[in-house]
Amino acid sequence: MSHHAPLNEDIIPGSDVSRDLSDETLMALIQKQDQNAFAILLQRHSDRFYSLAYRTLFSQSDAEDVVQECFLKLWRKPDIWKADSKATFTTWFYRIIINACIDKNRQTKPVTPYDEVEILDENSDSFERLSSQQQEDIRQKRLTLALQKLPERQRTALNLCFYEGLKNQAAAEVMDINLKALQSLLMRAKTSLKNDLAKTQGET
Amino acid sequence: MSIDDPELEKQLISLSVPKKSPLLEQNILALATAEQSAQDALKAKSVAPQLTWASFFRSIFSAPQVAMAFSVILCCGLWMGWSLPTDSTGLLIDASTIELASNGNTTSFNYDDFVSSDGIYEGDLF
Repeated sequence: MSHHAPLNEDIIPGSDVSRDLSDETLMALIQKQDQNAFAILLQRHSDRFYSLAYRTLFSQSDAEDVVQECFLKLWRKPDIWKADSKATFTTWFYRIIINACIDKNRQTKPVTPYDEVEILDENSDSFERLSSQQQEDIRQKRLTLALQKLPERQRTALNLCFYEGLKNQAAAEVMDINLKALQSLLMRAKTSLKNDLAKTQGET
Repeated sequence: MSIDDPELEKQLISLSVPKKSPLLEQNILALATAEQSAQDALKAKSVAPQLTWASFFRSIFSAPQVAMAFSVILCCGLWMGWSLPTDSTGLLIDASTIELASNGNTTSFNYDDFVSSDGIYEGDLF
């Protein structure tokens, strides 16, 4: 096995590490410092974990930083993954990403990508005269702000269950809470979002 | 998971995520490779032999020619030591002993018998 093969984006001509290997098998190889296995795992999941990080942080650069830090941590200390764990790799790594996002939020001032005043301007008469694309942009901004206003745990629960498609039980495991607590977080998140959006839509 | 409100669900689905940098994965892989190389270098350094007197002599005598030369020198030394003059009791005569021949017999005189401890001549040697 070529442990120190040069790496590039189109892995790995001549590598004997198959792309069909499961995440858990790749992790076992990574624990033996197999860079090709690491490259395959990274390419397989970086989009997914980046999306989760972005939906938590609402900053592209911060989300990229988190993904980079987490994967490098995995490379440096692959033994933090326990092969006999019941959790799948993705469930386990979701938790690492979420914790890193929480740390990032504590370190940096939360990002507000849009000026709230700008969004409230949609209530003016000129909103009707905007193109459908512009109206859609405003709706997206309004939704983003509503999501940002959600408490961190509610937003995480929504991200895992709605955007990442995890079952409630799996999401509860990621967040290290019981199923009822997760359902409660989801319910409150939906209610808050509906209320927030209805309020701004009502003002339109 | 489905949201009970179709309008909210539609909006949530439409919420886009900006594409990540195309260099992100390459950067991570490059950093991982660099860290691996640094670790390998560190390991190589830690297992490199340190020069000690023991390793110095071991390396010298591990060469067959040196070992052979050392053996020859050792044998010569032993032979010379065996052939050194001895007194009647078989003990090696001290290096400061002066040998004199008298009537074909070898008689030994110890130089120290005639010289005081501070090096001054105290008697007749002959």
